[in-house]
Amino acid sequence: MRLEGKVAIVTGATAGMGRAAAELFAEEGAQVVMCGRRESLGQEVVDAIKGRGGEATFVRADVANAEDVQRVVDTAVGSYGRLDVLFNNAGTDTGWLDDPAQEAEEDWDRVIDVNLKGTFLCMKYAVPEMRKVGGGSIINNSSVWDVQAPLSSSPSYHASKGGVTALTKKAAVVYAADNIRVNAVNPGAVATEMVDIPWDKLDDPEVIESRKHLQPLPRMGHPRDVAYAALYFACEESAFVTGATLLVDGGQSSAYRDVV
Amino acid sequence: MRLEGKVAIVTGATAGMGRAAAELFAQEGAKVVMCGRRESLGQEILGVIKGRGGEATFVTADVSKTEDVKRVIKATVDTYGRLDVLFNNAGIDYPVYVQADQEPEDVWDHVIDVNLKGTFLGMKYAVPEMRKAGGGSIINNSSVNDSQAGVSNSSYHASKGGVTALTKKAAVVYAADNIRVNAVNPGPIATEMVGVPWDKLTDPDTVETRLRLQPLRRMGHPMDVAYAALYFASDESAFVTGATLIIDGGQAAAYRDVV
Repeated sequence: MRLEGKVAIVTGATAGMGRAAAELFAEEGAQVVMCGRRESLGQEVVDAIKGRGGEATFVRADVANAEDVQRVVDTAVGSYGRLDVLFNNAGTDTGWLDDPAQEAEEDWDRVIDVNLKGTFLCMKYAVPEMRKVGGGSIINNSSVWDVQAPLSSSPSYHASKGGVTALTKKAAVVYAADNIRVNAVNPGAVATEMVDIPWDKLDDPEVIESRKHLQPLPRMGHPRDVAYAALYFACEESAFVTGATLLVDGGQSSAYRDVV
Repeated sequence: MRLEGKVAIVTGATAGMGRAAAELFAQEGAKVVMCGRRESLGQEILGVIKGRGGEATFVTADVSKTEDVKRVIKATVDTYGRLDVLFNNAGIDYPVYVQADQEPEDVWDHVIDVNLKGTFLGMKYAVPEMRKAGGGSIINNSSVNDSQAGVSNSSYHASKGGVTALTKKAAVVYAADNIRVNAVNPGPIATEMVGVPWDKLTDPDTVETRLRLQPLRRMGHPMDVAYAALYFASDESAFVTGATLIIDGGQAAAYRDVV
């Protein structure tokens, strides 16, 4: 198993890519601390993991809140004795609109707080624990939209993800001396709750069909696709990789398209 | 095993990252066709892989020669019946670092022929076979120097920039055939190309010298690149195409004063 003996935190683990990563990390031998805002969903995922013989704990937390983040890190160390892996996955978005100037200030603040500041806070409290165990791996969930924009999307989402990518590189350079690696996964059109596809619809043929046309590769992006990328960064197979970004977008960003 | 039932070609498999990938792919269950110019080295690695219970074949070939590449593909399909994975790894550099205007034209031609045209030829003859198998995964060995420049040769940079661009072009076009095309972009990896032979990879002096080349204080080992190639080769990256993955210990992320 590729994460044997490791303790991993996955934020935003109640749905989508976070849930897929929590399940995959546990399957690969990690003890997983999941956090999210929805307690009942979190417990449901913990039960699913334990039912398969995995080990996981759920902590209710909002990553934009420093006290919540501290509690998540404390739980990891309190329950499992150490911290090796942090998947900063939690993210949010608001309604899509064309004109950046039209975004409500409170929407901007909330998206930046969760996506960007949440990533900062989790690193801030995780790094001291990773130093104690001689290193670690941090994976930040950025987006293919960190450097590309469609006409219609939320400006705060773009700005937050561009920030996540930049923060990934900054942290990679600084924490390399502590043997803490920091990388980003950059998903494209992956079917998640954020784009209105709940977990129990992921294998629905109609859903799969409806999302095939969003990128060159004729298949739907599944949360598991991003989980596998995160697993690569979490495990020792990527021991020499830091400051990297990995697109998981079915070729979306490689393809030139006329602006519509 | 992550490549169970798959047939993979690894070019430039007689040393460094190619050798590491051939060994790792075989260990993960793939039947591997290795190619390179040095027959005796190829046979030696073949012996290592088979000694561990893996399956592999060696074909002497120069990837810049059409007839050689066609022979590698034919040997693959004749021997193992199909082709699923191609790691376009073969690459060379001019061993003396010179200014762009000082690089001899014949050196430029040779480096571009092996690194860039060799990648093109590998894809050209592999794609029809992958189509027959219903899809496949092509991994091109680019470089962190595809978009950054240090003390190195113009032809090497230009060839690697070309490999990255070709990766994206092929990814977009072959997506409809379920053929994924991605690149690994190594930084300072200890290989024969930079004067570190395979049997010195665990040498303490070698390790010590090379762990200072990038922010991460660890030597870049050919196996690091092989694992990245394995990720792209396996179905774990089923939704990934047109991607480039930097394996450089943080080199590209770090700003440094120009010296």
